[in-house]
Amino acid sequence: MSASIRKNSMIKNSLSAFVLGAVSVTSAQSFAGEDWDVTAGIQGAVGDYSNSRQRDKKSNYGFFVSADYLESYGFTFVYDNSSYDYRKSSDYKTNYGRSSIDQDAYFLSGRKTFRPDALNGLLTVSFDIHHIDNDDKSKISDNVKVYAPHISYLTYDKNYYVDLGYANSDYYKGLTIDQWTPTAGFAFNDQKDWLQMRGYLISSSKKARTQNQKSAKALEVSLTHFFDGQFLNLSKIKGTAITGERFYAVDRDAATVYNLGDVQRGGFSLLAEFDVTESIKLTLSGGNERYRDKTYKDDYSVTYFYTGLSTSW
Amino acid sequence: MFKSQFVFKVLLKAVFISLLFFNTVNAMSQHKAMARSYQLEAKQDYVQALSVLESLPLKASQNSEFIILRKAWLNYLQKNYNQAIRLYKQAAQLNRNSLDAPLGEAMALLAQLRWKEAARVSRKVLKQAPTNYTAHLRLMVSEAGQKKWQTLLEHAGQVSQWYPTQVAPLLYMARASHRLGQTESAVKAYQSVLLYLPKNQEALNYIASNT
Repeated sequence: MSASIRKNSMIKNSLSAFVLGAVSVTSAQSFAGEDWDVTAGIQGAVGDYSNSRQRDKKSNYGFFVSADYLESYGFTFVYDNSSYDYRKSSDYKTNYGRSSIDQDAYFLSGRKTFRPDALNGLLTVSFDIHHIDNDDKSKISDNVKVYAPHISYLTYDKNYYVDLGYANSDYYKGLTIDQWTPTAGFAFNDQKDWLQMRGYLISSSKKARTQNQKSAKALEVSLTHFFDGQFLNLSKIKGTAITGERFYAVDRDAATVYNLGDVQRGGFSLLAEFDVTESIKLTLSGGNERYRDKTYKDDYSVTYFYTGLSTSW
Repeated sequence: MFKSQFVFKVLLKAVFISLLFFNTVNAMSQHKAMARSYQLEAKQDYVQALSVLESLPLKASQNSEFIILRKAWLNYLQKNYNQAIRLYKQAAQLNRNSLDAPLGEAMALLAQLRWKEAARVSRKVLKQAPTNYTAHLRLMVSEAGQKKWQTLLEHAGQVSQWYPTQVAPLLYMARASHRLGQTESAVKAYQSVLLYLPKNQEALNYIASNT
């Protein structure tokens, strides 16, 4: 089962979400003040699994809040509720008598930024925790815990970026997944464009639990073009392509864990972000990803559409 | 007794003359050091310009507000922003009425993209000197860094009223207007910029693309 629909919820890069209710806005505003940057929002997505003999549809909704104090330290919290529907003829339905899985996913991240004179840029260290709880009868995708430290460096002129992430994921019956994600990015065209490449190096502690694959490698390349907001208030467009293979991947940008175990075999997505006002952003995203489930001999793709609104102060 | 009094007076005079001599030599050394430091700065040899000041006697430099400010500036030029901030704070401790010290600190904070802290320091200066141009400039840079375009537009407009001979507020007005989708206002502001700087490429490019 794919968590790809949440892939484009790019929290730190101003994911769009709309704060639910005046109460939450008011209480968040009193928390903000002049020293805090706060962003909060809601998001939702739907997906369709074509060519899959097992999976049918997927939907999710969630909210997030992210806060930074004096551009030096901060935290992010994300909650997501997902529902994954299987086909009535699927083996999952046959084996467990149910045709859907409902899931709650929680993400908490803390970060601190340093500015050592020797580096002439921002060095940020962070630590992420994911926890997933669902009613998967097989328990394979349930009770997942991920611990993920991360370090990044951005030059003061914002022309170059590198980071290194590590994620350790614990699954049912002792399965452990280790993932390394080295990343490099740079600006060009007077900083109107940004090219970023991220490698995924994934290894499994139990080959039999990861579709007989001990390891997987993938490369994610994204190209972002920034606008001045003159055309339809568009602030940026981002195209992303993934080549190679991933399983049980942890996507830090989307605060997502791909806890379903199928091997992802590539994909692409397109994201557009709009400045509705100076403080409200709308994000629209869509994409397609290909998967292989060797257990059930199921090759399929998922097409998804994501939307969200966020407000910042 | 008369003899011992005479010896005491001679010794006292000797000590006084020695102190006067060493203070004079010390002052001359400081002047030479400062002159040398300026020369090296003009050649953009900031490391040596700072090194000359570091070699001054500690007693002379550690309580000299000006020397500390100079060291802070030279550290800023070398992009040692943390060191610059530390020295600007030290200078502010010596002279609580100083505006130069917090403005220097704000400048280093902006270089580190610490927009909110720079804004905080700039506002402190503005409490003391409400129309200080440099403090307003630091605050405008902070507002641009935080992408507070409406705030920046209003702020820059006010500063431009107080300082009509300054071009920076006009540039910020133009940029903020553009970001807010107010193209006509942005063109007007850029046209004003060209009155001050006829060859300003940013203004020329914008007007060419939007008229």
